[in-house]
Amino acid sequence: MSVRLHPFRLLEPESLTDAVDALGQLDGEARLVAGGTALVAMIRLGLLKPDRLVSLHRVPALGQIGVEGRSLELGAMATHADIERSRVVRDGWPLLAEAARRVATPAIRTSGTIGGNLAYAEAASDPAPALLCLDAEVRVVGRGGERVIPIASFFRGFYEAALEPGEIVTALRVPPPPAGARSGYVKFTSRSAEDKPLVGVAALIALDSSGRCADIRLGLGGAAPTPIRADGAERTLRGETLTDAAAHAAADAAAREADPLSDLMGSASYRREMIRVWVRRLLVALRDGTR
Amino acid sequence: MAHRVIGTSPPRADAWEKVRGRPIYAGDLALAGMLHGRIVRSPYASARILRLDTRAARALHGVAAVLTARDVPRNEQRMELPGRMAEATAGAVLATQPVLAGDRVRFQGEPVVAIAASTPEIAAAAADLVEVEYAELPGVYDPLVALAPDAPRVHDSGNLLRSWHLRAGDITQGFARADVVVEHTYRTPFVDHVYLETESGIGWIDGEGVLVLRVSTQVLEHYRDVAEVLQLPHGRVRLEGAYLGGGFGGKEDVTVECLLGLLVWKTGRPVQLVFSREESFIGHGKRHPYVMRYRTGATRDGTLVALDAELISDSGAYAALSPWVLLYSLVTSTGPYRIPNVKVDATTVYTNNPVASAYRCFGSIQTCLAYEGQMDALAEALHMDPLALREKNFLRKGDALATGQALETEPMLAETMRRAWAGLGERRPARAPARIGRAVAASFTPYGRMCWTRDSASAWVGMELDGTAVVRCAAPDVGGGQTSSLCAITAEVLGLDLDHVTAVGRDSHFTPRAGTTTATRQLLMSGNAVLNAARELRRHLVGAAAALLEAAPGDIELAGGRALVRGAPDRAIPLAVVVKAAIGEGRPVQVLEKYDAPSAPTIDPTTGQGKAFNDYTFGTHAIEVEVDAETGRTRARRLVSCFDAGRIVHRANAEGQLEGGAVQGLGYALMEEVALDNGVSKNPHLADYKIPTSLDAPEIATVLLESGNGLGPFGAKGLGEPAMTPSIAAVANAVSNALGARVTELPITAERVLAALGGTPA
Repeated sequence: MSVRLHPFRLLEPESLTDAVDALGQLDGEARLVAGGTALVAMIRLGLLKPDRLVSLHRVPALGQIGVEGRSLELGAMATHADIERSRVVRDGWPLLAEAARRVATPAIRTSGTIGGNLAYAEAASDPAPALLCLDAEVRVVGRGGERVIPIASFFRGFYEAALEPGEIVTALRVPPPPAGARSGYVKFTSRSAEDKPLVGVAALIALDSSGRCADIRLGLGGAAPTPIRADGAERTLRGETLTDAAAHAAADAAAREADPLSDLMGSASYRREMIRVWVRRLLVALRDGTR
Repeated sequence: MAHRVIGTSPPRADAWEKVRGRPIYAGDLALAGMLHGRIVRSPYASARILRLDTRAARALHGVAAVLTARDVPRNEQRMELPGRMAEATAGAVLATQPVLAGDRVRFQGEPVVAIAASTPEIAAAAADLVEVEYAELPGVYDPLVALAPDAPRVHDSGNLLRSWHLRAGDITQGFARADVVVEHTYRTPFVDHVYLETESGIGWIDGEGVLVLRVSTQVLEHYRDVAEVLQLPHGRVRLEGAYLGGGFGGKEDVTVECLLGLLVWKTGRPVQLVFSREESFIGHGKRHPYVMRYRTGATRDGTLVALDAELISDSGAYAALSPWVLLYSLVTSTGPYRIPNVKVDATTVYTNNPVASAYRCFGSIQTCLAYEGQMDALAEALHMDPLALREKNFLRKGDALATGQALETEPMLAETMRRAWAGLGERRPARAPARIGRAVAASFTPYGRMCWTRDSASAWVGMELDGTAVVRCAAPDVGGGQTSSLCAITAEVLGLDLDHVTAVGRDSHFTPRAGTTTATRQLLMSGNAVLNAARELRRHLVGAAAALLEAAPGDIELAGGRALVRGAPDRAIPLAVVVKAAIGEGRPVQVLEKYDAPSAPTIDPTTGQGKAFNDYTFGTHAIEVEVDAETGRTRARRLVSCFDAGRIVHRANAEGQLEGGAVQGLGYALMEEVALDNGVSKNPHLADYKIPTSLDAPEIATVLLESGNGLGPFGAKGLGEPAMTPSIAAVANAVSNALGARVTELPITAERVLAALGGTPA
C-alpha cells in the first residue's frame, strides 16, 4: 500500500556542522528527522508540510552509549531499543532502561530515538519522566555553538522544547543515581496495551539508615502540557519516613500540582485521579520492594 | 460417519503464502501505464456545494481525469443485497447513494471528486487544487433528535428510514402476570471494522473491451453496481476477487468499485485506488449505534412472561443495509428464550453521522447486550442464579421464537452454557483493590440469508487427468479459510488428499456464482454447492471404477487417491486411471451444481410473524474479568467460548473464528468508539482508535460441540458472525458483577467504570 506524504527534499549531511547549516538555510521549512516515528505521522496527517527533511543518520557517532566519568553519555540517535538493551544503562540507570522498554511497540522502539522523543516534547513521553528524575542534561548544537540545558527546563510548553531555530539535540548526560536508590516507572494506559500513557510516573527514592527519604524524585508524564517534576510532592516526602500516610499525602500533592489536559484517552479530572493512584502505588511498591 | 479430512486441522492453502508475505492483494498489483486514483471528500457533515472548480487540477501536468457528479453516467449506487430483496419488500426502502456528491453532502468523507494521475503525488497535488465552496447546513447528529418534527432533514423524504415491529401474545396481560419487572436502557457506539487491509483495488479494460476490477471485496456481484453506474451491459464489467486482509462486513457494501470503474472507464487506462487508513475510517460504513430500552417481566419462579422493547439505530447519512441490520435486531431481540408476550418496536433513522451498515453480527450483537443484561438484572431481582434463570427459559426443540418460527432441532443452549461456565474453572481470588467479576452471555445468531431472498450458490468440481481435483467457485475468501473449507469438502467426498485439491479463481464471470461472503452463509451455501458437485462427480467416478474393477458401484470406495473394492484392498486402481476411463466412456468428469437454500414468504412487517431465517447458531461466552477499583481499568482474564458448530469442517479455522470473535468483541466492549463532534470524526487514525492487542487478550478456551443439526455440509452450522455475538454482553455482565452495579453503555472505559464506583472527583 502506498503511503502518500506531502513531497519534501531529503538531505543527509555527514557532519553536525553540515546538519546545522542544512537546517539554517532560509528557503522554506526544514525539519530534522531521526527515527521519523512522530514526524512522518504528522506529515501524513497534514499537520506539518516541511519542504526539506534533514536526516541525522549519516552523522557519525550520534548513537553511541557510553560512560564518561561516572555519567552516562547517551547519543541522541540511540534508539529506545538500544537503550533498553544496553548493559551499561540496565546496570547503572535501570530507571531509564525500564522507561525505554515501555515506549510503544517493538517496531517503534527500534526506529524511534531518545533525541527525537525529547525534541518532540510530548507530554505523554515515556522516557521524559525517568530523565527528569535522573536530572539529565540535554546537549544541543546550533549556529552559536554548543549549550547544555538541564532537562527540568528543556520542556517549554505543549509540544514545545527549549530549542532555538536550527538547534539539534546531540546527546544526553545522565548523572549516576544516588547509591542504593530504588527506582521505577509505571505506564498506565486507559485503552489498549499498545497506547500512549494516560499518565506515566517515574520515581527514584533513596532511604537513609533510619528509613527516611534522603532523596526523592518524581517525574510525571501526561500530567501537564509537558512532562514535569512533581516538586510539591517531593517536598512533602523529603526527610520524612515513607509511611502509607506519607505516600498518600505525596500522591495528593502530585495530583494538586498536576495540570492535565482532556483528550480522547481521558478527561483532566480522570488523569488527576490516576496520578494520585499511581504515585501512591509506585512509592509504596518501591518502599516495600515489591516491584 | 467417520471423516478423514472434515474436522481435522490441515495447514491452510493460504497459510504459508500469507506468513511469507507473498499473496498479491488487490492493492499490490501494478500494471504498465497505470494511473493512481485519489478521492476528494467532504470535510463537512452537512453542507451545500455552492461551487466546484476543477480547472486548475485538470491543468496540472500528469493529471488524466478530474471527475465530478456530472461525469457519472448514472450517479446512483443502489444498496440492495443481491437476491430479490427489493421485490420482497416492495417499496419499503429507497436506498440509494450518489457515487459523487452533486450539490449536497450529507456526511464527513462523502466523495465529491475523483482524480486519476500518473503518480500518487500528482494526484494528491491535483486534489489540493480542486476548489470546492461549501455552505454549511444545519445537521442532525442524534437519532432521537432526528425524529423530532422540526429536525433538519437529511433526505427530503424525512429522517425516519424504516420501522419493524414484533408482536406476540398480549403484552398487557403479560406484565400483569409478572411479579418482577426490570427496565434498563442500553447504548452502543459507532465502531469500525479496522481490517488490516484498507479498501483497495485496480482496474483495467481488457482485450475484449470488458472493464475488469480486481478489488478487495466480500461481494463479487458488485460488478452489477458498477455496470449500472456506468450504464453498461452487466457482462461488460468483471470483478476479480483477491485474498482479503479482513472484511468483517465492511467490504460488503461497495467501497472502491464504482469510483475505480469510473476512473478506468473515463481514462481508458489502468487505475489503482487504495484508501489511506484515514479515508478508510471516514469513508466506509460503521456498526450502528443503538439505543435499546428494555422492560422485561418474570414470575417469582423465574419464568419470563413479557418483553417490551424499543430499539433505535442510527443509520447515518444513507440507508445502506440499515433496514436489514435492524431486522436482524428485531428477530433476535428476545434472545434465545421463550417469552409468550412480546412487543418490540425497532426504528432506524437518518442522521448526518457516518453511514452505518454491515459489521460482523449484523444487528444481532447489540440486542444480545440488552437481552443478556436483562437476564442478569432479573436474576438479581429474583435472587436466582443467573445460569438457572437462563436454563429455565432457554428455547428447546419445538419451541417457537416470538416470530412464530418453531425450532426444528435442539439448540443445545444449556449445554453450551454449562460447558462455558465450567471451563472458567476456579474463581480467582480478588485482592483489593482488584475486583473479580464473572458472567455468561448466551446467544443466537442467524447463519445464511433471510429466507425470502431465495439464496442460491453454484460450484464446479472437475477432475484432472492426473487424478487430482479442481474446485471453481466464486466465493471470496475473506481470511476465514473459506477456500480451504471448500477444498476439504471436495477431498472428503472424492477420497483425495487435501493437497490434491486446488481451488482456482474467485471471479464474477469465470467461476460459478457463489454469492457473497457475508451473513455467515458461505459454508452453508457454497459448501453445499461444492458438496453437491463433488457427490455428483463421485457418482460418475464410481461408475467408471466399478466397470474397471468388475464390482458393483455400491462396493466401490474412493480413498487415498484410489478407487478400491470394499473388503478387497488389493483390488485398487489410481483415480488417474479411473478419470481416463471415464472420459473414454463419455462419462462427465466435470460437474456444475447448485444449492438452493429453503425459502419462505416475507415476514409480516407489522407483527414480525413468519420465518425470517432458516436456522440459527447457538453459543455462550463465559468470562472472568478483573476490575481495578481505583483506576476503573478492566482486564479480561479468562474467556471460554462454547458453540454448537453442527459439524466442524476445519477445526483450527473454527477455533480461530471463536477466538477472533471474542477478541474483536472485547475491543467493542472496552475501548472502541468512533468519536464524533457533530458528525466529524475526532479519531480517524489508529493513534486514537484503539483495538485490542495480544497483550489485551485473555486466556481463551474454545469448546466446539457437534450436534450434526446444521443445514450446511455434513450438518455444519455457520460460526463466523455467531462467534462474536455474546462477547460484549459477557464483558458487560462480568463488569457489572464485579461492580455490583449494572453497566449498560459501551465502551466500558476505565473512566466510566471509575465514575460508576463514585471514584472520579467532579
